Amino acid sequence: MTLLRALYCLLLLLSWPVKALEVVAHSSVSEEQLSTSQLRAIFTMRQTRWSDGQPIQVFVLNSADEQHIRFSRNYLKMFPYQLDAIWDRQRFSGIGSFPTQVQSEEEMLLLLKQTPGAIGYLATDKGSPAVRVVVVHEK
Amino acid sequence: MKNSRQFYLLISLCLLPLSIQAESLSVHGFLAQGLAQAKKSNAVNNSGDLSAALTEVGINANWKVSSRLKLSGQLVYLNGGNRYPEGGRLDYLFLDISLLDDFDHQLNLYLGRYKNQHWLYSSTRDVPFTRPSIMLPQSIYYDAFRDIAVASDGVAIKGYLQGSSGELEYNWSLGATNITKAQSQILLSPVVQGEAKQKFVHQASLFWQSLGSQATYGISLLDSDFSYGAADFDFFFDADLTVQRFMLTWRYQAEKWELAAELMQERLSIKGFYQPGFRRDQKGQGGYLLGRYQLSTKLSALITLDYLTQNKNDKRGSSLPEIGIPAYFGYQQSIMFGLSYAFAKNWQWQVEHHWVDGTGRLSPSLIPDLALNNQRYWQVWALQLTYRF
Repeated sequence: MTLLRALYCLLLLLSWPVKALEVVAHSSVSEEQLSTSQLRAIFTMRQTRWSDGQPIQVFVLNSADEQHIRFSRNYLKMFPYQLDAIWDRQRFSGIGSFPTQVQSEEEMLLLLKQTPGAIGYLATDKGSPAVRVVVVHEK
Repeated sequence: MKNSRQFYLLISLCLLPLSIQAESLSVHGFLAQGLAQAKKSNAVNNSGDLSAALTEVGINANWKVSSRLKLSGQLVYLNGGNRYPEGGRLDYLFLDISLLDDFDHQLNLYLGRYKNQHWLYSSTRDVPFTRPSIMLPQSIYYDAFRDIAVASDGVAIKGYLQGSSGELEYNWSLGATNITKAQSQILLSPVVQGEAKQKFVHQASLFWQSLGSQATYGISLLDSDFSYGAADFDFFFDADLTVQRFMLTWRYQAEKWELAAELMQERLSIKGFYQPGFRRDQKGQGGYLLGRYQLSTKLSALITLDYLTQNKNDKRGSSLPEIGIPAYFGYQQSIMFGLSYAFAKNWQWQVEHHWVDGTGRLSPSLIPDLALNNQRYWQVWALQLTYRF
């Protein structure tokens, strides 16, 4: 009986809809694809300009948010606490800055639409034709 | 205050929001207060009683002058008892010039009082919630050297190279730190009358992380010369000192835990000081292994093993009794257990206990305090509440 219950729970977990994520940028961003290491350089706030010279504006969700955790692990190959530590180190040693933290994916979409040079991430069903999806490949 | 002109410059920088657009200026800071006690040693104070000398207050500002130029600075007030001089200091103030900002290569030049970026915690040891423990492993992060090791006046570069196989961080710096009388007294002896100077400190470091790996490997080199100019009436004599450090770094970060280690060999050469013509040239060795485990999203546990010997050819200081110094001044080894509790956004408690054998990293460094540090085994504990903004 216990085994059956465990199997049932496992099936439930496997069938739970996990939202796929996409890296999304403002329509003014000319880059259509980025490598994992380039994406890391952007989200660790080391890379501050796009190739056309436009300033990069980084938007993230709260570090404890499920989508942020998924983005960190799947796209950046990092854990959220590593990102937090890098941002803290840069902010308190004067050599970098923090990304802008947003409260929800709706706010993220709004800011990605409105802010030239912006980059963030959204669930695939939250996207909009007004923003550009950036393809990320592992080099 | 190390330099009053720079102090007023930073104050002006902090007041600039009135005239500068908000997005080009950011101001942050922290406040921390704690309690500490070290019976049977002068690690915290001379009496061994419970002490509130565990205060750290800091404010920093970062002003984006243009897309390639920034100005950054941080003022701190510290009271760490005997660990370092009490008072305010300008921790750093530098111009940050972006030389390269490509997708695969970023390079920045820092001019002014730049922070030491060469060790795992050297750039964040002065900010309570960015370091793993209240008191860092003394083999590498010797508190008496704190002000000399945190920042220097000069020039530095920092670069990142991103390739298909991983990421390389490289750092280089050349500068010097002004040593105050209070610092000389903690570092050398409370009765020094003359003037200690750092002639230069030259450092370089490399850190490598393979893509997809959670392991980081690093190497750093330090070369620094100091001088001591005796006063007309002084217990000590003119001296030249050289410190050279070679260090290897390793860190592995998993989802719930991390391990970090730094191992070093440090050469200390002394000419003069105790007597005219005196010469000593010896190599010390040391390092630590640090383990952290995330018990929950708010609570983490930390354990550190730390080891230092002043002389690799006499690891237990057995020759020191010949000159009237107990052997336990030749080394220091300890185990530390600590907890960090981030109970609310921007708030954190830290508590830790160190069990120590040896007094090789108690101040002063060159003239050991035999009266206060008369026990081979001693302990220190500390508790600190931190807020950041």
